[in-house]
Amino acid sequence: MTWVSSSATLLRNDTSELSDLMRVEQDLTERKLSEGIKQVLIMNLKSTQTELERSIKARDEFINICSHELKTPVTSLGLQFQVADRQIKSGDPTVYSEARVKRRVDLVNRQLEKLNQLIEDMLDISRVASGRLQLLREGIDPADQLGALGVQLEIEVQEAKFEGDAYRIEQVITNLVTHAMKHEDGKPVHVKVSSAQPDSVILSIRDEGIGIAPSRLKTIFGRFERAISSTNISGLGLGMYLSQQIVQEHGGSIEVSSEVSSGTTFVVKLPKAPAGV
Amino acid sequence: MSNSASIYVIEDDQDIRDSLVEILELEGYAPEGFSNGQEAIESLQCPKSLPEVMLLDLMMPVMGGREFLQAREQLDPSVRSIPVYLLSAVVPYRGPLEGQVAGQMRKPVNIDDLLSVIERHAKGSRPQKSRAA
Repeated sequence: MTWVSSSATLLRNDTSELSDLMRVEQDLTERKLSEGIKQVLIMNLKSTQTELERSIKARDEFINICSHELKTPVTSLGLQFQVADRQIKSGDPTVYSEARVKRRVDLVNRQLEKLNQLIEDMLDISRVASGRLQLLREGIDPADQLGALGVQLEIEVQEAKFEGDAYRIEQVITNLVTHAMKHEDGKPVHVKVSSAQPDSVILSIRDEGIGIAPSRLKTIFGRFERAISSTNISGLGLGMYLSQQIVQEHGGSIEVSSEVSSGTTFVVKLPKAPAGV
Repeated sequence: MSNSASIYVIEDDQDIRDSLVEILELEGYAPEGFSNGQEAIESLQCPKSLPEVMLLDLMMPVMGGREFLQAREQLDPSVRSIPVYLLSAVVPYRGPLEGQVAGQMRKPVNIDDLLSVIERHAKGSRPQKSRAA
């Protein structure tokens, strides 16, 4: 395409009679292209700016949630040590009673485990972002992993052994089951493992709980996203993102469907012999 | 019937809730723990006796602190006049119901500060220290 600017001027002689026509033509193609490129660049910049603003907002929200989640075990540990300190200083002998000491030790262990898990989740985010999430290849039996969860579930498991990173797959199962149990609203959580397809193992986790709104369902696998209001469910909001990354690293897929007030179903499809693991 | 000042501890984390209840019992108060705002509202609707102070977390499942403050607005004036003290990782809370809280304390909580706040707000008899294991 060529852009041209054209103008004409009538020329008169000494007696004011029309004597000639002067035409001036200017090739504007380069200028117009520059303007077009400028417009495209401006649109791209605006889009990038919007995306950056969203990322910064999500990061700030994540830091806020991290602080809250880290403060919970710190508060609990602090309270225990402060109350013990007060009792010791006041000469209260019950501080040394076996029951009270055991209760404190159990609480401290629980809260340290919680702190460790939060830190592990944050480190995993960093590993995923920098491509350092390395997977092992070993035999996995989902029945064993579900049994090790130690929670009451309605489980239906077919013979479905496959190869993958047992620690990471257990992490996925734990994340999905924990999510279901947080949202189950007192109703049962159903877990089904199937090897009906020759090359894949299908893991399905279904709850009959509060469900997830369509708008939030779209972003559930996003980094730093939480399926329901951040004021109502604790957690860093990393579980779904990490689960999807782990499943994808195994060459598999993870899908979710949900209906508000009816429940949510996650379906994980994992190849029996994943490539690249 | 106990004449110790009744304190509501509305906190979803069981370990924090149990610790606060334990501390308040040791100091001779009569604390009662609730794992969310809804449980506390239900108790306030048909109380055997009203608490003298309420310690309230902000972020909780089922009914958080903000929703609790809104729900409390619908209750009897005698309930609305009970001092509520926010204990949260995200204070200072700034919101339309900010004026309804007696004060705010950031987690992790300092026990001495907490007890002096409670002593200031609890108008009941001075607590007798418990020595129960």
